Amino acid sequence: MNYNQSPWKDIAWNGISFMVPATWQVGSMANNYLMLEEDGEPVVEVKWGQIKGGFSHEAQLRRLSSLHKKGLEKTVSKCPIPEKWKKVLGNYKATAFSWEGKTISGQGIILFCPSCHNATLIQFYRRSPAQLPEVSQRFLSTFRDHREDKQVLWSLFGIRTKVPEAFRLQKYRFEAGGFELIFALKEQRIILQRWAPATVLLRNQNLAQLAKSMIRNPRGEVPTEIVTQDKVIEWTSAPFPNQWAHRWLPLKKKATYQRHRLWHLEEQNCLLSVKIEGRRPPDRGFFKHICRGYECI
Amino acid sequence: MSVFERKNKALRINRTQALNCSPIKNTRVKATRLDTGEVLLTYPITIRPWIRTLARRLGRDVNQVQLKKLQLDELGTAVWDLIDGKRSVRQIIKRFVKRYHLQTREAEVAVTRFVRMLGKRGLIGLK
Repeated sequence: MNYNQSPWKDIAWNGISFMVPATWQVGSMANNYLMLEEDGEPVVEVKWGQIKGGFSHEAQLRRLSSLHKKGLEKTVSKCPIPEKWKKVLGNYKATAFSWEGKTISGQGIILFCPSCHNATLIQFYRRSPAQLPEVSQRFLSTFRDHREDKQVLWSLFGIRTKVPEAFRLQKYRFEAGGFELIFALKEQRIILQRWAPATVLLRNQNLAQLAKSMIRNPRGEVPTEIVTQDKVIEWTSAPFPNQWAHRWLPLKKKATYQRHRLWHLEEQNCLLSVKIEGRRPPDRGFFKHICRGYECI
Repeated sequence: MSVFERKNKALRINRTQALNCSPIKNTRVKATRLDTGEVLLTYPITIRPWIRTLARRLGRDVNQVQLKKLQLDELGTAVWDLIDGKRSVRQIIKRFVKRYHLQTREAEVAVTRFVRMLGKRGLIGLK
């Protein structure tokens, strides 16, 4: 396959972003880890994390070497950074390495960004040695581990969003038909969801009826406002205006103020939902900003 | 113990091989199209020997064929309709993605899970 002629796509997850051929799929993932596969075979593995204090490339390489020794019975050796990679690495402090196992081999790089103190380990699995330099160069040229606008980009499995960097990923779920990302900052939470296929979900009900089924009214909370537009439903809920409920509120752990928007993207055949909840009423401008940045690609 | 391990290894196929398999419908399964467009599958079930013995002792007719019904939802019906004995699981996934605008990985998980469920119930076989 000629990767330079085929389309490429964005992948952004928990602070890092890069581009990969569209045929590469996320095979496994964690908060700071991504393994991409093509036809079920691993192609690239990315692991990253914030570093407090000094960072030693040698120590990381030794650690990696011992891990590979256990798994592949082969040692990792340091190698000069390929010229093609050097051109695109910019300010990153980099160390290249290669490794070879019985059935699989690869080449990788450890990157450390002096401005954001993020260290990243990237390993390319060598399936086709002829194509590796071209693909890896383009991959590295698009690699970013921080943004200037204090926003974190998230782009995976066809959904894309931008969330302020102060919000941390609390939970995620990617299941057939339903995706969910939950971000938290103190008592405030942003919950992003995607459901598909919309034609199936809206077969026996319209968007308003679906939204009604999603509204849960815990004791003491009532939806106060429901705004219905074409293919968009928005509602809020607030604590019940009762003195006792107000007194009870500070003791309650559960968030009570909510603003929720559900909309239908006909072309992509999916439903998107943004919910912001907290113990204070969510800011309308902030809510709109999150909704605007959340899309299905 | 090693005998069991060897048996399992022989049966194990990798992901690529599994996706290249073509599902074939069991000829004993009766598919009825409902007014909603969904499919209702009716299939005979094998009674376990001890249940058969128990039924005989209780004076029940053990020769009567026991039928079980399974109603598929819209997505299940779509996959069932795509099973023609020729299309591979991979081709079914591609068509499913195109029809419902789903992510490839997402459709792969949904379709393979459904195919596995049909296989476990003996409604399809894989070649």
